[in-house]
Amino acid sequence: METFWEAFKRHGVSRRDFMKFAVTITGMMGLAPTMVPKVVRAMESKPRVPVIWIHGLECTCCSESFIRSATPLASDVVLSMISLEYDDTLSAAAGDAVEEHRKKIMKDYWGNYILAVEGNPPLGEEGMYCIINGKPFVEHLKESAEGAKAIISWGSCASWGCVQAAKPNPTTAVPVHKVITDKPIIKVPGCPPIAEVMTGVIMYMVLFDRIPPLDSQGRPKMFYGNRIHDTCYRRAFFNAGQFVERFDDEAAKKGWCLYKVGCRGPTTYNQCGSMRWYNGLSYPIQSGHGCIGCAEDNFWDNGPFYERLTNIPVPKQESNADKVGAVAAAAAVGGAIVHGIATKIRNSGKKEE
Amino acid sequence: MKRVVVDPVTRIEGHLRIEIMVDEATGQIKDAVSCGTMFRGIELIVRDRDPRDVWAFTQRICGVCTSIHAQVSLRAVEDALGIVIPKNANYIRNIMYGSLQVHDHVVHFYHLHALDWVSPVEALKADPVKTAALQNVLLEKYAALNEFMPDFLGRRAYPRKFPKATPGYFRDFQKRVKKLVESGQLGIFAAHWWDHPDYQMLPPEVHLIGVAHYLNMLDVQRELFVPQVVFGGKNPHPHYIVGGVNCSISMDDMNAPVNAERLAVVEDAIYTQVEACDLFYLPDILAISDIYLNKHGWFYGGGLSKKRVIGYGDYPDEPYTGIKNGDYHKKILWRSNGVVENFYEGLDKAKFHNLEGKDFANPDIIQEFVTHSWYKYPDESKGRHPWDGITEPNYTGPKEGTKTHWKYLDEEGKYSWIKAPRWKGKPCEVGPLARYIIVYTKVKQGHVKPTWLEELMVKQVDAVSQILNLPPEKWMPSTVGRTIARALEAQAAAHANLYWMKKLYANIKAGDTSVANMEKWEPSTWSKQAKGIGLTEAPRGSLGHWCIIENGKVKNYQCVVPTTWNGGARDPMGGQGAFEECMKDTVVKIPEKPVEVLKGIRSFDPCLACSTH
Amino acid sequence: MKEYKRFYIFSPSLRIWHWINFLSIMVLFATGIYIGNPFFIGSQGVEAALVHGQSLTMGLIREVHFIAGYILLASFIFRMLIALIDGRDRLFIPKVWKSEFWSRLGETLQEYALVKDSSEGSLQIRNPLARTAYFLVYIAILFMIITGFGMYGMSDPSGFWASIFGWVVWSLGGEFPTHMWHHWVAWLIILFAIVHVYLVIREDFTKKTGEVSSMFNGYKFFKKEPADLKELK
Ligand code: HEM
Ligand code: HEM
Ligand code: NFV
Ligand code: SF4
Ligand code: SF4
Ligand code: F3S
Ligand SMILES: [Mg+2]
Repeated sequence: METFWEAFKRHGVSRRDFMKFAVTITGMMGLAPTMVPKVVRAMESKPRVPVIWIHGLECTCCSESFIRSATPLASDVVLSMISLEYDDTLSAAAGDAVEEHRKKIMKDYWGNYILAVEGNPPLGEEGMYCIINGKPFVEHLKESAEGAKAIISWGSCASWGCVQAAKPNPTTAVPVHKVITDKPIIKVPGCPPIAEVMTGVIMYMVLFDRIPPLDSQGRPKMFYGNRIHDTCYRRAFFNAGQFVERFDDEAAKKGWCLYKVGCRGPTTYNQCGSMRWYNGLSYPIQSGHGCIGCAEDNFWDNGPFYERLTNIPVPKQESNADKVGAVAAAAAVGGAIVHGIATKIRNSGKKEE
Repeated sequence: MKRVVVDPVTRIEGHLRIEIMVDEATGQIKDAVSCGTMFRGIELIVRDRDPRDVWAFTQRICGVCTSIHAQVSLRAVEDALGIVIPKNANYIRNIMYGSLQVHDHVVHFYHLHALDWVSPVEALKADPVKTAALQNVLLEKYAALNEFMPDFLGRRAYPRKFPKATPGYFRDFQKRVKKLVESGQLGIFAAHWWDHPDYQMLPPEVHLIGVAHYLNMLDVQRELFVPQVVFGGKNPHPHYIVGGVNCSISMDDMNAPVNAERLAVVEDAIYTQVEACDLFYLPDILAISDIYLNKHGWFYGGGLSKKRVIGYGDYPDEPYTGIKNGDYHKKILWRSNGVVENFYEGLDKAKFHNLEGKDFANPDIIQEFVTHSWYKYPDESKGRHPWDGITEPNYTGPKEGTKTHWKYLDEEGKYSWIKAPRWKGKPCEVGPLARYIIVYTKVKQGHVKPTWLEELMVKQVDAVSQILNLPPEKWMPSTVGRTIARALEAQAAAHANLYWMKKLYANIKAGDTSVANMEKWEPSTWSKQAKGIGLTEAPRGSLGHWCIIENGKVKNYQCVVPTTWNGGARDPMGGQGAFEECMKDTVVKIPEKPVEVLKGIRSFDPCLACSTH
Repeated sequence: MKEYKRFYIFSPSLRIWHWINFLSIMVLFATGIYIGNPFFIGSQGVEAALVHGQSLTMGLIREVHFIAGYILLASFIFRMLIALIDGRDRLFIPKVWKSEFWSRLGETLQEYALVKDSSEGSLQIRNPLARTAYFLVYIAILFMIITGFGMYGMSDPSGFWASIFGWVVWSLGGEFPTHMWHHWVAWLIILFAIVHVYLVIREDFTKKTGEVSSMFNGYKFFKKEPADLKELK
């Protein structure tokens, strides 16, 4: 079995650098310097982390995003950092052979493998809206989770429910944490998540052999600690009150703020503003479209995407809080006046005692 | 007779199960079942929503053919509302689409399909010196196609992505593969039937090239999608708007989504697409195909493509006024619209049926059946046109086993989450192969005067026929032919991207920077009731979205998807889809390890999230 | 004709609070609605970096909103403190556990529905309906403070404000719904204010209790002792 040291060697890391690395992570893990030799030994004899990557109801965009990672390159992650032992999309084997292999890996690495989940389980029809090997995916998920050290919920599907869970959620699709409650779950939301965020999470876990620090929502803090709005390069235009009023107007050509055409950057936690996509090449706002909030819980039902305020369902009419509010305020003033006059009439003629 | 189940079918998108009935004596497959094992209900989810948002929902039908369901949805909504997009938007959408064609096909071949042909185990047996020599031979031998590939911009000084052909490279590579195999942690290569005799069909050197390029292309594929990241902000799932594209153009502003610097980024990526296709994808595939067809006479898997293929057409050269009004089919460069029957019998016997704008609105031409699918219709003996389409799940369970633990499916009853689309009640195959067959037949039979793109496609087919020394009707309708057609299409799309770039530059130069037509942005400008059709040639085949908009909201929305055509269930007349027909046209050496069948199924590049949506 | 007698009702602290509260809410509402939809733009054609301080900008409006937000928070804390210290300032508690509450609520409703004459009910400093409404308005203001500081704090999710108020963002299902709730409740408060002002003036006209001036000088006028006066002791 290939150890960390061997994998490092393959990448041209010198023994000296390897030792330095061992010292550093010993410190980072809060261990005494006397533990260094032990850590080195562990790294020399430790097999690559086995990963079982299963797919529920999804569109596979998370896998697609993952392989777009440039730093680290996806090929290095898949072949040198982890051992991707089961993945419907990439595994050579199929059918019972691949299922048997999954079970074998679970047994051989019980308590030590990482379960990565892309997509989510539907609970409707006893789970039969998503079937693997003739059985409901939800069963597959529970079974695979049992011996896992930790679970990664890839994308908004696994983290929140995403598009199939949008109203009316025809299949009763639920996020992973609604089904698995007794394991550490790392949510990596986004539709899909940024490639380098995905590999960054893996890298962290492989290098430091622990789960990255999570926020109250179970997301890695380092990647979901900021609103896009707070890191957006168009923020200066927002502050200045310079807005795109309509797609392709003069302001759009100047790259002004997209707030008024519905940008969800102010309410979305993701790395798009700072890391951006494709190693910094662009992100939705840079291409002239507002953020649609794809890393947020329930973002599909927070539409329409091109309005700042969600519609309030008023029969036969498009309406938002401001329109309804203004009408209600006018009605209140009108009502007060009418009520006042009526009071006057009611009380007139009655003289004070 | 033996009934063999493969579930899950891996290295595809989504969840597919197949069951085959094999005659153990001959290896002949007597009957086959294809079952889509997932359903999400996107058609139900987009109801009552703002039609301007729908592209984003339908885009999430699939992250592999990402953006095709967005683009076709925009077309459907724009068709309904009568919106004509600006020229720049048309070119930019075409580039985003073409980039998908290249990327999706390249990733399909190297990362989903290649391991059906090449094996890391065999690669270990190769001689690195011979492999390097072979790589050079392949580049020489199959460069015939690159000769006539047009370079519309002519700006690349020299190819940046060129296959390495040195013994050292292959030796080093082999060492790494060896290390991996010896580590015992085989990862994605684990547990496969590497001992299957099919892996002996190619010499070890081809295996080594294939496996090396598997990894090499894993790193290159990301660059192929750069145009979508520039124009749409991300990938997968770039952004669009109804009425055009969001990436405004200004040559005076560095903050503009599109300016000279951004266009240079796109142009560079397009040349990478060209090189990936010309120098890796086609030589690799032709090397394998040549040996399979000519050395082993391996012509399995043609199935339905021999009998009937369908296409819708794509690449509007200029903006069009509508699809159902017929203008789309007048403006497109790639007229793969139509049906061709009996191509297998030869070009002179092949029968062409036209299909254009109004036919897609005709309730009798394209219909979906659910007789054998887990859905409910009031009358299941009849098909329904998508405008009247109904999506009402109705799961019934297997033939053997329990509701939640299957043994065998019930092909007599309902057995799949995929509906069954039909053309005039008949099943058709869709995909790159179908499109090549249609364009080739249309041009050769003289139904159309070819556009430059169609001419190019015909030349590609003729060149391959010459290389393989086989007539098109012999090699095309087969598992191998399907895989070649896909590579040809990627190559054509990469070169077409240069054409769109040229047009985009010229139009901007002429002073037109408009990318969106916002006249009908406000719902108040829409008619109370509107119906639209969106058509496209998705990577896996012809794709249509049909929508009905009422009072500013989506009333009904139906998607008829490539893998729905190919992987769908049977119809009440007994017609079978392309997956099932392909399997029946294949012989297996070891029934329990049906590598040949999986090769055939994967040659369609199945996408199950698409098929069931 | 009986003479009106002067009753000391509102402490100076309460009165000061009331007007600070009123002013800050007006500022918050005006700036808030602008933040929700910056309809008027004064800075087109100016370099973004130079706009600040030159005209009405989003940045400035937001700053004003946040300053007013801090004032609202401070005044709210102040209000709660005086209620703790002085029983006189607890008139906003609806005593639902008392039967008088319900009977008087009935009276008030009948009065407002113009079924009964305004002078027919029992004399009170403050009727149960008003108490209930004020109670709810305090809750609404608290809600605005929590959601407001929740959103405000999340530019630094591990910072001070987020650690106190950040939870609200997740309890409401994310930051987008938080914005929407903050926005809807803003309108609710304004609706309250309209009705509130009307009823205060109406009270003044129908009962001559000196209602409006009471929030300035602290005194109301009654001909005999109002039933709930004992609460002030
Ligand atoms: C009665 C009191 C308040 C009213 C009427 C009010 C009103 C509003 C309104 C209408 C919005 C626009 C919401 C949207 O559409 O996104 C808003 C935003 C906001 N308010 Fe308030 N607000 C009040 C109190 C507060 C307080 C106490 C704070 C605390 C600092 C606060 C902080 C904010 C923040 C941070 C925003 C979002 C600003 C942005 O997105 O740029 N608000 N407020
Ligand atoms: C945003 C606007 C306003 C809010 C939120 C508001 C809120 C309140 C609250 C909570 C109380 C009860 C105080 C207590 O005892 O705890 C109150 C009482 C009162 N407010 Fe306002 N107020 C507003 C505007 C006004 C205005 C404009 C006037 C002047 C016409 C006014 C006049 C009064 C009077 C006279 C009382 C005493 C009523 C009584 O004792 O029943 N208020 N107000
Ligand atoms: N089938 C299919 Fe797609 C494609 N190509 C869509 O229309 O893959 Ni996901
Ligand atoms: S998170 Fe969104 S993008 Fe990723 S699999 Fe789910 S639907 Fe697709
Ligand atoms: S474009 Fe969006 S995220 Fe950027 S500053 Fe404007 S509102 Fe914020
Ligand atoms: S839409 Fe998604 S990709 Fe980023 S900018 Fe918004 S979170
Ligand atoms: Mg459909």
